[in-house]
Amino acid sequence: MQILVIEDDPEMAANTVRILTEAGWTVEHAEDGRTGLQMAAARSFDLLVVDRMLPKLDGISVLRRLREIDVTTPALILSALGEPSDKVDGLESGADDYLAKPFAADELVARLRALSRRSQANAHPEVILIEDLEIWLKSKSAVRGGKPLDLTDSEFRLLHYFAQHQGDLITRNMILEHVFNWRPGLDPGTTVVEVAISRLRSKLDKDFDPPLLTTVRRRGYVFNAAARSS
Amino acid sequence: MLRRGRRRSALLRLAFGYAAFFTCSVGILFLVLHVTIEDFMHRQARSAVAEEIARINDKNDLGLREVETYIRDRTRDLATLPSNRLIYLYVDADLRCPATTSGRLANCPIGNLLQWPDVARSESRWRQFDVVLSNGENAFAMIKILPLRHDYRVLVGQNLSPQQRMTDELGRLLIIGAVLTLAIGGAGGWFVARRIVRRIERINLLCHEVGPQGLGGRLPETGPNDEFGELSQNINGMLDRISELMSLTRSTTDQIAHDLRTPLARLRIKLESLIERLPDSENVAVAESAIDDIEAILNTFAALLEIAKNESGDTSTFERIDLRATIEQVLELYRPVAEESGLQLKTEIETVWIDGNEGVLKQMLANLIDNAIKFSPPDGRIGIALASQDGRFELSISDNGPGIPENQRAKIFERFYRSADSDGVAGHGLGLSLVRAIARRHDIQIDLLDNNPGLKVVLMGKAYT
Repeated sequence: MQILVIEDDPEMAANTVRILTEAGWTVEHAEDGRTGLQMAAARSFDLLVVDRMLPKLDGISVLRRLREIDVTTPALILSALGEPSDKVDGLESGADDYLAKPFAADELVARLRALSRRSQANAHPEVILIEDLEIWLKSKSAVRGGKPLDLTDSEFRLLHYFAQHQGDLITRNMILEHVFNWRPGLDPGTTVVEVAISRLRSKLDKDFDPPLLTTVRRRGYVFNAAARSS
Repeated sequence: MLRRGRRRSALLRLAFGYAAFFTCSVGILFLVLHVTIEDFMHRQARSAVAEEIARINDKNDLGLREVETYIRDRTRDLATLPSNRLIYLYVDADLRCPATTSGRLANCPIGNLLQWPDVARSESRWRQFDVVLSNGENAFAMIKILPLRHDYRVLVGQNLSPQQRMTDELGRLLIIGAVLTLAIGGAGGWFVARRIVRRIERINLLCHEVGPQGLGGRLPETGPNDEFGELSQNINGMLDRISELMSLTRSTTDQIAHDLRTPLARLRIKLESLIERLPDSENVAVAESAIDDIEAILNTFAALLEIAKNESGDTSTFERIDLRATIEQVLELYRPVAEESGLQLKTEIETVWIDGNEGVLKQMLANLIDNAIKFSPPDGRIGIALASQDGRFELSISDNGPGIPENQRAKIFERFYRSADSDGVAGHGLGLSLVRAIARRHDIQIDLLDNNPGLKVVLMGKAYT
C-alpha cells in the first residue's frame, strides 16, 4: 500500500514514516502543502496522512483542492490543535478521519488500516457472514449459530464496525469516535468502552465458538483475528 | 450569568418624575400668585371700607342726622356708578330702618342693602358675606359694623364680587394651565427620556451580546461628542482589548499545546520502541508503567487545554441541537456502566432545543454522569430529568451518594480540587472544572443541591421552541 505523508516538522515526519514503514507500507513524504498537493494529484496513493499546519498551503486546503479535482484518496488529518471547529473543518473539507498529536503509533496504524478497508469495501452488502455469525444490515440484527443475538442499537453498531474491520487492531479511541460519535480529544472515562466491549462479548462469544472478539492488552481489540490481513 | 428578573423602565420613571416635578413647581407658583392677588384685593377692600368708617365716625360726632345725610348722599352718588362698590346700611338699635324725624319711611333703606344681613349687631370683626343689594343684585362683600350714637349701627362694606369673579377666572385658568403643564411636561419629559434611555438600551444590548454571541459588535461612534459618545468609545475600547486578550489566550494555549505535547509524544514513542527491544517482562513492565504515567500527564494536559479553550467563550461553532438526543447519546455509553455497578438509572427527558456545541456538551454530561456513578453507593439510584418551560430548560442529575457539604460547593469546581470522599476514586480533579467552563461558555447556570441524601446537580439555560 502506498501512503503519502505531508508533514513539515522533520522529526515528526521521520517518526511517522518509520511507523508506517514498520507496518509494512510504502511511504512517501512531502514537506509542504503545495508539494503534497502536486504529488497526491499526480500519482494515485492509497492513503494520505496530512498535517493541518503546513507551510505554503495548509492541510485542509490541500484536501479541499484534491476533492475539487475528484481525487478521492482516503485522508487522515493530523493536528496539534484539538478545537471542535477544527474537527468540523477537517471532516467537511474531505478528510475521512482525524487524529490529534501526539498520537500513539498503534492508533495511527489502526486508523489507516481502517481507512483502507473502507475504501476497499464494495457497495453495502445485505448481510455480513463471519464464521457462524450473520449480521443483517437492513433489520439491524445479528444471528449466531442459528440463535438471534439480542443486541441494543449501540451494540449492533459496535459489532458492525468490528465486522467491517475484521482482523485489524481497533483502538479504544476509534471505537469512541467512530461508533459512539465522540469528539476526539475528549475522554468520557476509562471504563465506558471496556463495559461496552464486555457486554458485546457476553452476547456474542459466551455461548459460542470460536470467540470472535479478542482484547489485545494495552492496545485495543481485534475482531476475528483469523482474518488478519498483512 | 445574567441576572434575570423584572426590570422597570427608567424611561417611565424619568418622564413621570420630570412632569410631576415641573407641574408641582409651576403649581406652587400659581398657587402663591392666586393667594397673593386675593390677599391684595381683600386688603384694598378693607382699606377703602376703613376709610369710610373713619369718615362716618367723624360725622357721628356731629350727630346722627349728619350720618344719615352722609349715607344718603353717598348711596345716591354711588347708585349711578356702574360698579357700585361701596355698601352702606344705616339701622337703628333694632337693626331696622330708622324712622326719621320727618317720619319718611318710604325712603328706606338708608343705604344700598335691602336689609341687615345675618350678622350680630355687636360683631366687631371684618366679615365676608353674601348680601343682597337694594337693586336686587347678589353680592359678596367685605363688611365692617360701626356702632353709632343711641345704639344705632352702620354697616359699611365693599362689594368683592367683581374681584371675586376675576380671581375665580384666574383660578380656572390656573387649573387649566396646570393640566396643560402636566401634559406638555409629561410629553416633553417622555421624549427627552426616551432618547436617552434608547441610547442606554442600545449599549446594554450590545454588552449583553458580548457574552454568548461573541465579540463582533461595536457601538456606533458617530454623533455628538458628549458623555454618551465617550461611553460608546470606552466600551468599544474595552471590547477591542477583550478581543485581543482572547485571541492572545488562544494562541498562547495553542503554543503551549504544541510545545509540551510534542516532547511528551516523542518520549512515549521512545519508550514504546524500547519495549520492543526489551527481552524480559520485568523491564517491559517498568517501561509500560512509565508510558501509563505519560498517558496520565497527557490526559491531564488535554483536560486543562480543553478547560482553557472553553473558558475563552467562543460560540462560533454553536448549532441548534436537541439536548434530549445529546443526553441519549451519552447514556448509550453510561447506561451499561451504571448497570454493571448495580445502579438504577431513571430518566425523564423531554425534547428541548438549545444552542451549543454538541461535542463538548456531551463531555460535560459525561463528566456529571460519570461522577454520579462513581460516587453512588451499591444499589444506588441515579435520576436524570430534563424539562423546559417559558423559554428556559432545567436539567437535573441526582445521585444518593455522599453528596457535597455546603461549604465545599463553590470550591469543588476548581481545578484539581478533590473532595475528601474521593479518596480511592480515580481521577485528576479536573472533571468539574471542565463542566463549569463548558456550562459558562453556553450561558448555562449550574447549581449544586442537596438530594437528601446525595447530590443533585441542576443545569439551567435558554431553550428554544
